[in-house]
Amino acid sequence: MLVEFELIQSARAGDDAAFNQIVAAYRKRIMGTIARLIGRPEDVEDVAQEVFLRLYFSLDQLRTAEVFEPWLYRLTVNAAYDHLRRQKRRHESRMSDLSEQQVVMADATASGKATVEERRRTQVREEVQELLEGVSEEDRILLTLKEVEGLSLKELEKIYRVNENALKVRLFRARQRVIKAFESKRGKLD
Amino acid sequence: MAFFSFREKPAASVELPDEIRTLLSQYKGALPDIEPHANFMPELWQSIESRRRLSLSLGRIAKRFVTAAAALCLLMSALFVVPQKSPTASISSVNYLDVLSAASDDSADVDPLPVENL
Repeated sequence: MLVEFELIQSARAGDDAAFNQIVAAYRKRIMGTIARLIGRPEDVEDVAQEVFLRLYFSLDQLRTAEVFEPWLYRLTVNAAYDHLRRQKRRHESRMSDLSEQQVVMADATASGKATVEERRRTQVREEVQELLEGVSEEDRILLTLKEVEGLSLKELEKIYRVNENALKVRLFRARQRVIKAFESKRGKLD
Repeated sequence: MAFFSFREKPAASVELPDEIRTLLSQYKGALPDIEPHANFMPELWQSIESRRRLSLSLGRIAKRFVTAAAALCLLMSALFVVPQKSPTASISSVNYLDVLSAASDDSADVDPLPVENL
């Protein structure tokens, strides 16, 4: 754990400085996870703000130190899920909807500034985004947590609050669907 | 006791093809580290304050609503109690047998119709 439980207790008692310390300790990690879950760097900060806002108003529900991190992950997953659903509703595939980073990369590529490594990273990002767009938000989040974040089944159990078997079934289905999406994408290319 | 030791069998695991697995493992490194904006904390506190204000004002509205509902309840109960004290309430409180006996007393004063008139 990145902070002591006493700090959490102080924040819960209304100590704003303690809350600031908690945010400072977890901000980078949470923002990284959000970036991988939603895939839009320019929206990461907004989602992170929402996570810490929810954290602030639900700190009093926290009972033990051990559940703090899975619980923070759960808040992160829920906020990312809400964001993905909102984004899906206003889905647009115009140039104006491309992420700032994609636009910058597109410009850089056009002007020949992007390095080989940058181009490869952009390609990976685009391919993964395209692949994950082929599955539901629920599958996307579960697969990202398992395959990208590398969380264990035990950690996922704490986040999802389901038993291992139920989680394995969900993973099984999510993997099947992503394979199907991958094959249909490949079929289109062929 | 096979029945009690029964557990749901997990679904057979599906392994992702190497191509997808590699892609997903490269994805973590392909995303840039995002540094929070300098205004991250001030903006967060602004959001906290505005939500706090909102919940306070909602709490106040709820309190006023409860007070108004309680006042309305009192008023309604008063309206139900007061009519019983009005003159019409005494009529309604007389029971059926009293009314019958009163009616028979009244009819005693009236001369019965002579038999020859029938």
